Amino acid sequence: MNKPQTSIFGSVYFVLMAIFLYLPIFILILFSFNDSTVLAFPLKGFTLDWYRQLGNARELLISARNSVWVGVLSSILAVALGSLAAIAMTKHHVPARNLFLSLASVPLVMPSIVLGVAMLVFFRKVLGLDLNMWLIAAAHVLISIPSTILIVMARLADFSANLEEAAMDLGANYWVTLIKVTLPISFPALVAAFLTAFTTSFDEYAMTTLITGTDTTLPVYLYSLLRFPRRLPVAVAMGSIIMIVSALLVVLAEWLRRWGTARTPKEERV
Amino acid sequence: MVNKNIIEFSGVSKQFRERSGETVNALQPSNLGVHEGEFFTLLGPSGCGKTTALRLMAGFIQPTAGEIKIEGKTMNNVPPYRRPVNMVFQDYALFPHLNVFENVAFGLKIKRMHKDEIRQRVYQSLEIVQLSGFETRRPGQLSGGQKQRVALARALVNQPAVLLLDEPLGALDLKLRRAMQLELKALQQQVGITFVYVTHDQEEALTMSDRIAVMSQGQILQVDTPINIYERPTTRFVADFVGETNFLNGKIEHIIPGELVKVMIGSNPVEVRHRSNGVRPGDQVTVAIRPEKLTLMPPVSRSEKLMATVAEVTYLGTDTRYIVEIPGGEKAAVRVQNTGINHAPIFHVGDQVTVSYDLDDAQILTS
Repeated sequence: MNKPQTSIFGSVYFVLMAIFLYLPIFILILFSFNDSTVLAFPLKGFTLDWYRQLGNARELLISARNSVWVGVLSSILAVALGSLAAIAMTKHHVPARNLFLSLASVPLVMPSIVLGVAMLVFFRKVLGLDLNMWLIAAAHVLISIPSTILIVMARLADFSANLEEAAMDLGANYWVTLIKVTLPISFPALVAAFLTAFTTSFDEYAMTTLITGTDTTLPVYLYSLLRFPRRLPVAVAMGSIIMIVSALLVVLAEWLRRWGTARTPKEERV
Repeated sequence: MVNKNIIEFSGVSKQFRERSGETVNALQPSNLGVHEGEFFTLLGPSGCGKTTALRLMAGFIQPTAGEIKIEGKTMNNVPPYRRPVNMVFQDYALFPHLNVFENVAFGLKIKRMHKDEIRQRVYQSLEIVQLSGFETRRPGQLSGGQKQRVALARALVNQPAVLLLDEPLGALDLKLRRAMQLELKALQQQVGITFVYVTHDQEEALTMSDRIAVMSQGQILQVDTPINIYERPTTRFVADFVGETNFLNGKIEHIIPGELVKVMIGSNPVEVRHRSNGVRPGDQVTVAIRPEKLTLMPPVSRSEKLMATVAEVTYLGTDTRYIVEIPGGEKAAVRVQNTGINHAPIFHVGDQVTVSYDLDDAQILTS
C-alpha cells in the first residue's frame, strides 16, 4: 500500500489556511478575557469581568432568550413542513415537482436584505400586522425550509423503497409505515435538519433587523451594541460563547448524519 | 380438478405508462392458477413480466384489466396490508433501525398480538431458519445469507397463505445459492405453505419447483412440471431458454397419426413421434432435440438415420461436445458422456458419423 506523501508545501499551505480561518476567531476569544474596553494590542491583563457583566446585561440576555425561542420554534416548523414536502417529493407523484423544488429553494439564493424588505412590506402593508416575535419566527421558517427539504430528501432517497413496501406487506398501512419505518430511519436526518435550521435562524441578521419591532434577537442586539464602545467587550464575550456552542452544534449535526448513514450499510441498498 | 387454486389470474394484464407517454405491456392478458401447497416458479429473462406478476399478487400494483383471486376472494383494489400473502424481497429489505427480533416481530406487533405469543412465534421461526441466538443483532451485522434467513423468518412468522419470493438468492454467491436452494425447498415442504418464486435462473427453477411458468415479453408461454418443461417444451423460446437445444428446420413429409411424423431436414428424412399438435404434411416446422439425447455412431450402410460430418470437437472432462454438420447446412450439438470405453473423444473433425436418437426425445415445434 502506498501512503500518500505529505509534501512540505502541502503542510505549510494547510497551516496558513488554518491560521487565516481561525486566527480572527481566536483573537476574539482572546480579547474577551482582556482587561480593557479597547479591542487592541497590547493586551492589558486577564479578566473574567466581561463574562461577569454578561450576567447583569438584562437586555442582552432577553435578546439571547428571544433568539433561542425564535430558533427552536422556527426550526420545529421548518423541519415539519420540510419533511412533509420531502416525503411528497420522493414518495409520491407530484405534478410540477421540479418547479416546486426551485421555488422552495429561492430563499437560498435570494439576498436576505431583499427578503427582509419583502417581509416588512408584506407584514406591515399587506397584512397590517404589528411586528413581533411570531413574525420573525415565521420569516425564519421561510429561510430554513430549503435546507430542511434538501437534507430530509437526501435521506429518503437514500433508502430503498422496498423498505416501505416490506412494511406494507407485513400489514402496516400508509400511516403506520410512515411512523414505524420511514420516520425512524430518517431520524438522524431530521435532527441534522433541525440543527441546521436552528443555526440559520440564530445567525440571521440582515433580514431580521428589518422586521424587528420592540423585541430583538441576539444578532440584532449585538450589532446595536457597537454604538456603545464601553459595552463592546461584553458583546465580544457573548460572541465567544455563541461561537463555541455553534461549533459544538455543527459537530453534533455532522456526527448524527454520519451515524445515520452508517446504520444503512451500502450493500443493503443494492 | 384435484388441485385447488390458491391464486387465480383471469385475464390479468398490466400496462405501464412510460415518461414518453408510450404504454408498455408488462403483462399480457394472462390466466394462471397456483395450486395450494405447491412450489410454483415464474421463470424468464429480465423484463419478461415475472416480477410484475409477483407484485400484482402482493398488491403493490393493480392490474389494468382482469381479476386476481387469492383463496377464492377477489383481490383487485385490496391493499398489500390486507392480503394473506407475504413477500421476501431481492434486497431483503430488512429494517435497518430494528434488530433481528424486532424485524421478525414487526408483522405480529402490527396485528397487536399478545407479547408472549409474539415472543414464542419469533423464536420458533428463527429456529426454523437456523438463526437462534441472533435476536439482538442489527441487519448491518449480518452476512448476505443470514439476512436472507431473517427476511424468510419475517415473512413466514405471519403464517401467510402464500409466500412470494422475488429472486431471493440473486445476491448470494454460487455455492451459498446452491445450498440455499435445497434448504428453501426443504423448508417449503416442512411448513407446507404455497411458494411463488421468481427467478431468471433455469437451473434453480428446475431444481426447486413443483411447477414452472415460463414467461417471455409479458406472456406466460408454458406452465408445467420441470420434467415436462425440459422434455416437452411447446415453444421454441421455452426449449431455448431452459437448457441447450438443437433446432433443425424442415418440412413435414408425411404423418402416420399416433405413430410418427416424417420431416425432411435438408435431404435427410427424420422421424419424430407424432403428438397431436395440429401439424399437417407440407408444414414448415422446427424439430427440437437436446444435445445429450443424440448419439454418434460410425456410418452404417443401410441408413434412414441422419448422416453428418464432425465439424468441431470440444473435450469437457465429463463430456465431449461435438458439432456435426448435416448435409444441407444445418448444424447440431451433440453431447456424449466420457464413460467406460468413451474415455476420450472417439470421433475427429471430418469424420463421417451417423446421428441417432430415440423417437420420443425429439419434439416438433410450430412457432
